[in-house]
Amino acid sequence: MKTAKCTGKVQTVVGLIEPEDLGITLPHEHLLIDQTVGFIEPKETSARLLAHQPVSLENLSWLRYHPYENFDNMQLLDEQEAIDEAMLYQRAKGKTIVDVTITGIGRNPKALARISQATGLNIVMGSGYYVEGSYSKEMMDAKTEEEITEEIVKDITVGVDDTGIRSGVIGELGCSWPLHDNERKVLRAAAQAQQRTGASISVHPGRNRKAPFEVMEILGEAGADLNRIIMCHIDSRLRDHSERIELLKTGCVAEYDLWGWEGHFPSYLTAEGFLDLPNDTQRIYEVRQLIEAGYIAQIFMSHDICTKNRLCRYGGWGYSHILNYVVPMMLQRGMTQEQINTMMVENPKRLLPFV
Amino acid sequence: MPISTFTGKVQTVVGLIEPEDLGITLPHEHLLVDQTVGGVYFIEPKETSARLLAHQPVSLENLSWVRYNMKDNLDNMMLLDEQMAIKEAMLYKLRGGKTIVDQTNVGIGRDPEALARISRATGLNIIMGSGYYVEGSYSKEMMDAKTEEEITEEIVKDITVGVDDTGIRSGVIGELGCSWPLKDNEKKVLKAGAYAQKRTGAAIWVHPGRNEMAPIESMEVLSNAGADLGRVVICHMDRCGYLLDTRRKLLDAGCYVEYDVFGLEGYYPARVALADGHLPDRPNDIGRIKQIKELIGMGYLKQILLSHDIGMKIMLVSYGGGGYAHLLREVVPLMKIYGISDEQINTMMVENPKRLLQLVHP
Repeated sequence: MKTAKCTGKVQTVVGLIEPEDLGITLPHEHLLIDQTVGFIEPKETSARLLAHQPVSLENLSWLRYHPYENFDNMQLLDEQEAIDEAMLYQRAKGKTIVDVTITGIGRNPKALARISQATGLNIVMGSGYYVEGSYSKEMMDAKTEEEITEEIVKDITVGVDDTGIRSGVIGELGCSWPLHDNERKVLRAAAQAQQRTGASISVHPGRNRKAPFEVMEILGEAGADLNRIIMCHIDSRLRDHSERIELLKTGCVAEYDLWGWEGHFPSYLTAEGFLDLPNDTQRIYEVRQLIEAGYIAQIFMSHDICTKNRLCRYGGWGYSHILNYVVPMMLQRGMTQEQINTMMVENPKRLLPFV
Repeated sequence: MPISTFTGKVQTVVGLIEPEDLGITLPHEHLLVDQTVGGVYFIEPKETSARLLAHQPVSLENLSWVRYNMKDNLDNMMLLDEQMAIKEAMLYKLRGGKTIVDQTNVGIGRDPEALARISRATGLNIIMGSGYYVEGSYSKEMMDAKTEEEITEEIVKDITVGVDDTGIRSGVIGELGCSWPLKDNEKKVLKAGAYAQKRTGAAIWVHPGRNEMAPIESMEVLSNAGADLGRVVICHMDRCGYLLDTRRKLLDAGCYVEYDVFGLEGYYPARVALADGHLPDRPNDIGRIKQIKELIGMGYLKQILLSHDIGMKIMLVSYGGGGYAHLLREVVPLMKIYGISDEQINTMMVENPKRLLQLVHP
């Protein structure tokens, strides 16, 4: 229940903290995850070996452009590896990570608590459901909106299953394109849960430029607080500045959360040739434009690390990429430390506490 | 060897071939190269803590760091392994590639015998470069002492007789290296390149300095020295995010523009930034494709070349990079999705290189 005890505080996997203790925050990451529900067995015989090889230097070239065509790449299951990688972020002065891994893609509250203890980082855990492919349709068909709302409220106020470890954010709620009925149901349930708990909602929109707007409409109709919604993957979904402005006018946060991913979106994943991704310098110029238009308070930055090949140990960019490489690039391109602070500290400080 | 015997043909490291035998061609690569360029590119770090990383061999353990500090690791800046070059080049052949132009010249590790062996091992046609790279790659004193005529004679000999006493002949004049600002010696080499072009009928490849004005400056030096701009390639058009206006000036003068760093999708170390403080904001592959589409729409299809300029370990497949087959494996399918036709791709990867590599009557 929304209690005076929680209001104004942030729920981490080891307890409540003050917003002042958040510091530099990554609002959209995965420390441990299992995305293999989305893995598709390849048809060509020659591709089957590649699909089931463990990730190594030998196949990194392939994985760079075919990250979801390898089973091992879609799993981050090694707790020690997660600690080592998170420590690189801690060494770069990062303080908080929001891990938006949820049911169906491997949410592991106890492991997150151990990682938090081992690294000293604040870790905020997610709640809710990802895309329909991550759960049994029959199971979800049978649930009512109210039941889903209760689940999310319990995750936040009592704890996940019987761990007593509580979620601090509702998300990342998964949407496909077109949106499945169950996914709509989850969005609506989340809006109710937001009203009950005061938590923010983080949404992974479907792979289409109209998807973010569809999500805002559904959440709005269901009574969500539009100023406490985080719309993820803007660097992929909205390639047009005027579209980004339209979205920001609704009041939500535009989250640029694919920093470090500088190539194009795998054509494997999207039927519509929805492939455009900016590289980091382009992201910087786009963010600068949004700041110039007056929307600095509605911008979030993260990496969405979710495959092995993005980890530093496998040659990737890791959780410290923004701090080590992007921030200096931003400063070189006319942005100020204060602006960076707003996006990485102040904005999370406003959205992560319960209201 | 009389020039008339190779007019109309292409000079590879194992002999003359017909232009029809070129097939799919990468016009700007390095199979073996030493990019350390005498302390210009690789600089010994000051901090003690950085020295270990600077001198470690590239491996999975440091790959993440090396990718972002690519010019700060000595091992990364050298491709010295012939067997690895053969293995990597074969990946290109397996996808349908037939020819590679290796733009490594004097001072950055040109090895004619090795190129001939790689050609025989892979069955690929390999065309070798000539001339000089940027001033850091040679002794300034040595080059100060050379006249334009002497440099011209060297290039002509490389093409008509062979490099040193190997008898293995160059087939292009390039990549001629320019800094920003342009050094006197580099200007001298450009002019010699223009004179050598007149004598041999070979095409010229120019590596411009890192400034918006640099490509045009290099082009003007060549033009004033009598070069045929229709047989001049301005390299690295996608390295610095040059303006459309700059590209059009080069194209309207007749030059080819080469999009030759496909596979390098973004991060560029600021230490190697443009000398005038301008940051190198380069496009990613999608950005390159869009620029190319725009140029095709404006009528410049026949003046566009595509390559990867592989020159560091992190660009090899063996180290997680895209390698020599990146264009064929990833970019060509992407181009098709973005509406570039098979015929247009063929023009850029077969017809345009063919036109340049064929030695013309001087």
